[in-house]
Amino acid sequence: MAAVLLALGVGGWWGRSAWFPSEADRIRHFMESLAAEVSFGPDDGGIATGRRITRLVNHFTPDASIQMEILGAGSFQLSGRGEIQQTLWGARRAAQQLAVHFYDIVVELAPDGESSTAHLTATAEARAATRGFRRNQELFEAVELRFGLRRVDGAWKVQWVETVPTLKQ
Amino acid sequence: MIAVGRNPRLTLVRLLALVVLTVVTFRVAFVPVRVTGISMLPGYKDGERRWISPLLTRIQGLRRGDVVAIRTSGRRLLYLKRIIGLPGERVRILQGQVQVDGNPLAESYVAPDRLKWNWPTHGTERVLGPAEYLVIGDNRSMPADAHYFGVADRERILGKLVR
Repeated sequence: MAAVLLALGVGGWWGRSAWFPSEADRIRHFMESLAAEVSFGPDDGGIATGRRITRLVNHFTPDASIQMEILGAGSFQLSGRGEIQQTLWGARRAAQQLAVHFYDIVVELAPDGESSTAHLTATAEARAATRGFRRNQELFEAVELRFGLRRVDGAWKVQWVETVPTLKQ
Repeated sequence: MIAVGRNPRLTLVRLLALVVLTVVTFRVAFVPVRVTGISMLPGYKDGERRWISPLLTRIQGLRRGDVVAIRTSGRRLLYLKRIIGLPGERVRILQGQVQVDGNPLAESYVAPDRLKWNWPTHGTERVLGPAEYLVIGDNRSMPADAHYFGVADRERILGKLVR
């Protein structure tokens, strides 16, 4: 009897989060889909890439800003969808493939439920194509990021992205 | 068919005890990690499996020379670095040589081909706060700007490597 109750409890808990996800779960899922859309493979054609980049850029608010510091590459800042789109195209041309993953996504929802932050650790594994790198050189980067999100017409959009320094200087 | 033994209640208690023991062992006592990257060469190679002990760290405390795991936004990705400077100390790196309170630090774990790093970049010393540790990887043959190192807060240090 106890085993049945335990099984029901575990099943109920799993079912609740699977069928009725909380807002934090939805944001986590959104962030994971964002990482998947940034990634691309060596066989992805120009049309597929273009569609993906357009979809990706639409996940940002028009006034979105990105401020990042990448080890060995310095810091850069992007403002607005146009600059983000150009950078994504640049990355596509510089690399043959890119695999981005987000880990340990910690979501904090504002009391009004209209904005939130997602603190996570991103990894990027890239195989460089040509310019700027040696051909077929593999690069691996891990960086802590904080995303600021805003709800627009019921959907979450990225408003800002910044690097979180794990170690202080 | 599931075999639950003669006494299902006892089986359940055993099962719960096993779950608790597993969680305590692998989250508090010994956390398994896999080394990725080259920043801890020559002592720690890419792909090696090691263990971190948050429990032992709590008991023994942190000492200079300990290799520690530093958490990021969670515990799935950790930075592996060596403690060079302790809270309250004056630290700097001058031409590749670590200095603690003005004295050069002997580092047998660093290969002789180290580059001439300077840190902090503005040239002065950095005084560590009451809960701050200077952590660096052992591989100093890479350029300083390609090697992630710096000051870690105590709360970010998950534990030290035990093997």
